[in-house]
Amino acid sequence: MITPILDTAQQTLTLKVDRDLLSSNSDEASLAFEAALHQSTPPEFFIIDLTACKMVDSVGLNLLFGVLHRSQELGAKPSIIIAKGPLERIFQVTQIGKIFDVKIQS
Amino acid sequence: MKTIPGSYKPFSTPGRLIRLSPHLPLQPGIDTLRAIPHINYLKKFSRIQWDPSLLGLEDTNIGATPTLVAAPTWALNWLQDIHFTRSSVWDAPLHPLRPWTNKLASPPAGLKISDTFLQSGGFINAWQEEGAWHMIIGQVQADSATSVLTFAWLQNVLAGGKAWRRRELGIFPQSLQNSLPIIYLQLGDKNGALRLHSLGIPAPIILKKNAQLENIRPWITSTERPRQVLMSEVAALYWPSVGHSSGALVFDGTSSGLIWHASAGLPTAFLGLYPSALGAQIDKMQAHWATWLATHVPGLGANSDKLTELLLCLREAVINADKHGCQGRPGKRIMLGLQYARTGKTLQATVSDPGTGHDHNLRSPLAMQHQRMGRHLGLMLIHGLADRVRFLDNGATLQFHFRLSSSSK
Repeated sequence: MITPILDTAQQTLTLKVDRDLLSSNSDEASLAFEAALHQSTPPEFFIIDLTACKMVDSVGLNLLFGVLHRSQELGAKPSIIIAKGPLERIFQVTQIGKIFDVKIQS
Repeated sequence: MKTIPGSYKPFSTPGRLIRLSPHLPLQPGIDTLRAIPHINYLKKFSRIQWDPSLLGLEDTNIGATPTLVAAPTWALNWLQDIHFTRSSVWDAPLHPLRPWTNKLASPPAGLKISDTFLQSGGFINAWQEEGAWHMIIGQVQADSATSVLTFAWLQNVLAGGKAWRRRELGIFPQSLQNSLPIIYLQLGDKNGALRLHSLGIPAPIILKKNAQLENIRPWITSTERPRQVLMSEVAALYWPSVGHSSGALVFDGTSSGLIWHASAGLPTAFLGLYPSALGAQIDKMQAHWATWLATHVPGLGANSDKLTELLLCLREAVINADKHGCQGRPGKRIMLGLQYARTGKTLQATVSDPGTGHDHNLRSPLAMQHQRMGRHLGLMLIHGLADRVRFLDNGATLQFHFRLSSSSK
């Protein structure tokens, strides 16, 4: 569900999410995020790649918040990448962009 | 003739005591029987015939325990036939009530009751009056205090007259509505009509076709074939604006709930009735909504962004209804209604739960603090994505609208 990609040269850990983050898979996602975060030494940059996601519900959003805050605690600078589409509106409505760095993949 | 305290009246036909449900804890012995409050006042009525075999329960080895209800004899006999011959939970090899075999009336043709329903604590009580069958079908949760209240209520219903029953249904305690899905239905009044009233569930779930009655939820019967529901019945209960029609809603049962959708020529509408404690069922439900919406609502393409936003709002609303309105516990019902208005190209979604509602204020300081932490974002999503949102029934019903254009992306 979560594929970690570590770029040591760029000091970046990217966690690529391959499906929607929803209440029904939040437990699985939470464990996967936690494992990925502790797999390597804390990077400078931490990216959650949601370009493969079309929907993130409130439970998924809560999970994202937790993971991003956790990465900050580990000393990383977190950001999110989303694709153009429904997630844009979802993030706009919930104002996540005011708290975390959100990039839209063109 | 004495009257029961309050608004109750004694029944006119002498009745006998019968065991109705296994959920009321009761130890064998007369003293314990006398300690039950509702039994005490029933004993005041000389018209009640007490079955002597019940007064000494030492011979009763029923595993679960009985409750006692007074009702017309013919109804009890028929009820006994259904419960005690079909329920493996309640049957005992030497049950003292087994000698009752004289049935004075036959049950409605086609009524099927599954063992699953009975084993899960369901009960059915039925009686015939003035040519019409009356039934109360319910499912009791494990809480013994609730069970006592439930059966005290039920016996009062049986003890009352026809008019009293209707009045009593109208003041059914909210605490029981929340935890006890009960359907009261009357089959065949003088006009041969089917009338349904469901308590805690604002929509019918009993179907009748070709003079046959079938309960199609698994907790009633395992039969899940499509059946037709009279549009007028649903309309009267849920969509007053639809009105009576000669058309019909076609039932489309799924494993996650009871679903109706309007057949051709009627307003495009969808009514879903789902059991609470959804769990992972929500994904199946969402997939079903997606298919129906993409198929029946113009402007909602299968992969459109608008469809995703709408599905997310539906998901959040239903999960909230389950989590807060039903406390995430089984035995309750969530209702979802979708109605598409071609004039205005608007989709209206209504989600109801049996809870007491809320007065959540998205803009309160506490709410905003939660939102900044990523908590309680469901309502925020709905408010942000839908075009109009409103709460009804003190917050127990959420209604929102999406405006759809023919070019909705």
